[in-house]
Amino acid sequence: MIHRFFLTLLLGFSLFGKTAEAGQTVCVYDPAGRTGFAFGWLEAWQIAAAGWGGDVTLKPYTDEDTAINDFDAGRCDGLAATGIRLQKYNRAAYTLEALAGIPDYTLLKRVLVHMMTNANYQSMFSSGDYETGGIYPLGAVYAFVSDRQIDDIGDFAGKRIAAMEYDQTSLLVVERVGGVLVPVNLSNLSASFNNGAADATFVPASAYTPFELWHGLEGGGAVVRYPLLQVTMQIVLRDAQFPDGFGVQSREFVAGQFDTAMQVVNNAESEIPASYWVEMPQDKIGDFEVLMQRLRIELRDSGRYDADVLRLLRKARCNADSSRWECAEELE
Amino acid sequence: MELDDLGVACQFGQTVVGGVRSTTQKNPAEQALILSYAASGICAELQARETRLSGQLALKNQAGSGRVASATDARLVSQREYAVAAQRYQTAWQHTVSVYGLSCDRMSNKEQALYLVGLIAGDLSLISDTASGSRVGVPQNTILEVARGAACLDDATWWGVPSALQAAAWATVPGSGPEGVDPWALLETAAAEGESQGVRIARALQVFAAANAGQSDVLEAAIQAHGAALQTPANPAAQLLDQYALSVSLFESDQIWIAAEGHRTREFGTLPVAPDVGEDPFGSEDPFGSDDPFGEEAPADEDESSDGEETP
Repeated sequence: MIHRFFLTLLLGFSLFGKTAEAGQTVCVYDPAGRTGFAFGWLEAWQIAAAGWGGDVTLKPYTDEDTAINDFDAGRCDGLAATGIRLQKYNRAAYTLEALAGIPDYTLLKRVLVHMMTNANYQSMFSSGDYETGGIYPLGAVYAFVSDRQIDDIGDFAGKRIAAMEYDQTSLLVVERVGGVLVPVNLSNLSASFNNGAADATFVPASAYTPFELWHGLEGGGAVVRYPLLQVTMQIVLRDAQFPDGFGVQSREFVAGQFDTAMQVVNNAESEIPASYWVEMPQDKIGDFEVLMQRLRIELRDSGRYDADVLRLLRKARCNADSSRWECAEELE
Repeated sequence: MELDDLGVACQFGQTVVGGVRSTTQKNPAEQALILSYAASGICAELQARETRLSGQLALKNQAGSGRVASATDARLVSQREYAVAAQRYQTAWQHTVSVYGLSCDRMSNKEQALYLVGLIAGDLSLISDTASGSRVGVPQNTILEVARGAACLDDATWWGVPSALQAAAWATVPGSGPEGVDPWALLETAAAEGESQGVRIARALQVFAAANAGQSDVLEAAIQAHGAALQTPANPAAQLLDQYALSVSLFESDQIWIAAEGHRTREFGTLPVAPDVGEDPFGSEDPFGSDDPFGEEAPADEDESSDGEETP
């Protein structure tokens, strides 16, 4: 009788309990594949995961749609991809990429590390069947423009702007600055900007060298040094497939990797020659920030951004600089 | 390139680097440096690969608290070794660009061979650097420069390698290839071209590109094809490259085997398969029949045991 009891218990665990014993597959999107730097971060995570009861196999994807489809189809238990593509799994975590939500890397580190390591914010990382297991910085998105005279909002009116066709946020920005949308994907982004089919595009510095974007900057172009938003790489876990407590340990580990990840970001930014960088004129920054706030609120009200996270980001910005114009209004 | 022992080649490279650097002739010295730095890069890369495999073995097979530490340590050591490889390959690549630019106009056959080695070193510098955690800082567009540099070489003369270098770049950088060209189909064509001449470098590039992109079906087919192609004797003019190609494909094969079986490749060209139990060799009948073969009665069901005591 006792044997049968234990047998039933074991069967019960293997059929209905968490399947940590069987191992987990995590689909990892990196446009450069297994040799990409983001995949390298996940390799370190994979090893560490063995210490939290995980037995993780990583599967590289050079196409983000395929990675997401495979995750949705249950072929992976976890997914590492850019935050914007993970909105449907956890809107709160995605909202950390809000337009002009985090203006510099010092604040980015404070926000990400604090949230990932502080128990008060754990609930923000869980959403239904999913848990966000960590957020890596991929760098700020900047405006790459073919004419360095384009350096504030008004200058974008009538200009052809290449934006990722899946990125609803960028599409909204293009519309509100009066630009002409040139929808692109990774396959034709560089051709679009480098061949002059677009006057501007919004990408992080890490796109500069692999896509040889200097071709589009030659002849008077520039990179406007104002972070439009912070791109992140996030790990989404199908909660039931990982051991209890895995997500907490995963986030703590990823928080500890912030500086390692930022080295890649800093290297990428340093590869853009100083002569291409231009600052947004001081007297134009205010108008720009007002527009960004208006768009954040619009995206919050339409359900794309999470209101709690937007409020936290405003608090973080105001804690860092209480003289900011938005601190008294508390619209977010 | 006629050497057939990677170990000898890499030791040769390390020895020659020192000697050649002290000469004063410009071009001959630079040309020798291409070969010797590329060969010494192989030393570091082979070592880095072995260390990496040892980490994967630790992660797969070890138990207890030492598992994570061993795997982490192996990863860190392999990153250092990959950085050495990246630096050496990059030096070979830089000398290539310095001597030839990215064009092979009026080159002799021997110079083209050296130029080809330099191009391969260019790709390897980037691959090794990313594996090192970008410690050297090899520019990310190196693979595209190599692809452009390969365009002037004749595919039939150089065993399909020029096309394979281009296709590998186009498969890796989205939108970088010419419209209408399927880089994966081009890699297969190039691999077959090389195999027909007894040089499997293009096949190894296909293996690497497929592993990199997570194209499991292409990867497995390419490893099997590489194994089958070894029936053709290596081209005597390119034995070193062919041996290097084998080491690349074997490394990828080892990773598949370790993930599945916990050990390196049993036989190159084969893949680990789930044990095929097939049909019950005895059919559906109990091979012992209903009687206990030792002549004792079958134990009673535990539920029916009289006092609930366990049988030892």
